[in-house]
Amino acid sequence: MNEPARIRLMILVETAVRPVRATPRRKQEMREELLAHLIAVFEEEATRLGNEPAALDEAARRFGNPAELTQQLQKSVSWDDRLVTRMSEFISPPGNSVARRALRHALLYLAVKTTPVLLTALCEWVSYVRGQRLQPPLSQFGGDGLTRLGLLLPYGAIAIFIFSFLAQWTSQTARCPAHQFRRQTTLAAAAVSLGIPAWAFGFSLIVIGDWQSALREIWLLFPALAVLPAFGVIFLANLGRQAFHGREGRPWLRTRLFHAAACLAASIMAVALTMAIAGDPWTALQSAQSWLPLVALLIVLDLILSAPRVVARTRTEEEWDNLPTR
Amino acid sequence: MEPIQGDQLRGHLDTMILATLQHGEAHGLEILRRLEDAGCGLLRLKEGSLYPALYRLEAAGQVKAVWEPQPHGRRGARRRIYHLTPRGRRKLEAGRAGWLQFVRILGGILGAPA
Repeated sequence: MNEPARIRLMILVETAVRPVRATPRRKQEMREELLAHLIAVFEEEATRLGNEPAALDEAARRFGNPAELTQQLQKSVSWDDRLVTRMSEFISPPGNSVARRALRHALLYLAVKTTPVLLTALCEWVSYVRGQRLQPPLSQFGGDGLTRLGLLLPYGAIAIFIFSFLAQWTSQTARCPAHQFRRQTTLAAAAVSLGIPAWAFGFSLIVIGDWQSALREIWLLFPALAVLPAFGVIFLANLGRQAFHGREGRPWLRTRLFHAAACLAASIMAVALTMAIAGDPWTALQSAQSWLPLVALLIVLDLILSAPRVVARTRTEEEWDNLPTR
Repeated sequence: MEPIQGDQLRGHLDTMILATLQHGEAHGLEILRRLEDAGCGLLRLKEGSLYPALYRLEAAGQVKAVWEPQPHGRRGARRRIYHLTPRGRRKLEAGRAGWLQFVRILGGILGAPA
């Protein structure tokens, strides 16, 4: 079967499947199965008619009206799949800009975190008014503690905004044209290596309350906070680039080994720097903070191992997403 | 005889699919072929409509499907092989009993007993 005929059949399938509201995985399953059916029908008709254009028309006729099929496919989507789709659309509405999505994630975080605090305060206030409780609401936090709680909630939301924005930015960097890729990746890595330590410093300042102690805490963690996330951004952007623009049949084992070695080197460097700054290596090793790079390394290794699967899936989705539909 | 169109099959398609799968597991196109053979070429079904019906049956636990291991030259397009589950067999028996009752009652009304 030639490529133009295959693409025409794919467009037919995509016209029916794209409007269906279901999880990407479910839609991909529908696409694959419907395309397999259409290809088999096309081959059958091409043998019978001996004419490819006529076989394509006959395959389309036998397939039926894509708009009707969309409705039928929509009705066949299970309730749990619909629920997951709605939740996903609620959390990240399709078509929103990166900043709007990040803002939405931050506001959702704030709502989820604030609701239990407000409910606790309400319950305690009711008990207080009824005389069942002697202390005023949220008094367990103390005057200063309550202020910190009030600062931490929006600060968490800011963190979510930053992380969500950076994650989406990295993903977009992977798709940008080749001449912009290096500049965009460098900018994203620089933003991460400055942004994350700055955010961590602010967090420590709120928790500890003393800027000198907060700075000391962050200084100890600075290599891990600055180097590893920046490296992660570069790695993920390259991985994404491989997925969107890489050639078929790239030797994946070599790429994976290279990335694994680079991640290991970055992690060892971060641990070594942390130990050097701490002065006493054993104290640094015993502290939980020193294990942070190793945890990050495990996450990165997991990404590397799942990379071929992610790349294959992304390529397939991209191929379908780029199809024009009526 | 006039061909039987998809609209006339509404409500019966699920049971018909279950009946074809009683003869053994099959992918979508094979199920259609079995339906056509059993209908002596008089069934006119929009082929795309078969798949939503299969997905409904799968969600109801009446059929189970597995992806074929190799796409046989169809790049990125594997078929799924469907087979009947015990629940599907029970549903098929119930569907057959319901159909016999339907034909008996309508046959009596129309003056053309089966």
